[in-house]
Amino acid sequence: MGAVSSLRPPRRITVSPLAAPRFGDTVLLRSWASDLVLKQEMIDAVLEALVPAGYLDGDDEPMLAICLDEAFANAIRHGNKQDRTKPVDVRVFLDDERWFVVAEDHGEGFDPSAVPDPTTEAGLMAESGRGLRIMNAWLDQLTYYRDGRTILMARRRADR
Amino acid sequence: MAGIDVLRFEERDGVLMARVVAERLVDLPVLDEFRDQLFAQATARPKMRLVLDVSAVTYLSSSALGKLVAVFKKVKETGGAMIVAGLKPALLPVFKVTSLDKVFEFHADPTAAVLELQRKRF
Repeated sequence: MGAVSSLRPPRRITVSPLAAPRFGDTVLLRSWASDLVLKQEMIDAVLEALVPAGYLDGDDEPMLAICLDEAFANAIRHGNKQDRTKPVDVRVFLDDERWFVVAEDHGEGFDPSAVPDPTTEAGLMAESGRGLRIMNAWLDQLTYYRDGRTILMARRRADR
Repeated sequence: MAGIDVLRFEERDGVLMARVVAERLVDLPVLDEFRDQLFAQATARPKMRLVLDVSAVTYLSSSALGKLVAVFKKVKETGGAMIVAGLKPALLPVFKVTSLDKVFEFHADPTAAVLELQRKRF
């Protein structure tokens, strides 16, 4: 199976967007222990930060939930290897046009370009490996920082 | 795993209607139960004609798509057919971007899907 041709190549940026103050208003900044039991709580916290701000509509919610589930599960399972002493740090911030979600783990990173294409003939019948494709298609921006340990997800607000 | 309420089965003149009662097809214990129950049905009923009613599902994860593919393959292997019925329109993009919209057969209405499979001959 070949690499995902539609994925943007990973950018080698070493400054974490978690700390950068130049991004808009922070509406959520919180860390969770690396435990899959907490994943739903993390997803709900992000949705609760974005829905009252009017940045999402009803159709956005299931799609965002899928993307968050994917990002948080990857950070907990593959990044921090479910080591509860390692946090997953989450920041949600807004500018006038878009919302941004950053999730950062403390693992060894990964190479998103090495994930095989799930839409090839073999990939279609595979029983895993579709998460990145869904995120890349629905989000306006999906960027990895720090060798894959930090993920930034962004999309235009629903009413724009 | 016992105690997880995921599916309800109903026989309708040779077609098995499996209604997903879990609103979130997300977490692995739920997904494993989902797959195991449907695998057991496919094993017990070769050439199973299956309507998977997902109208109650509001969220699913990429892992859920993997389980759907696993069930689809199992049904095909045993000579059966499967229709995914009642998918919420908000979830369709997930199937489109993964090209699974070309793999699965969809029907908006579960009852109409049952009729369609009843007509299908093997």
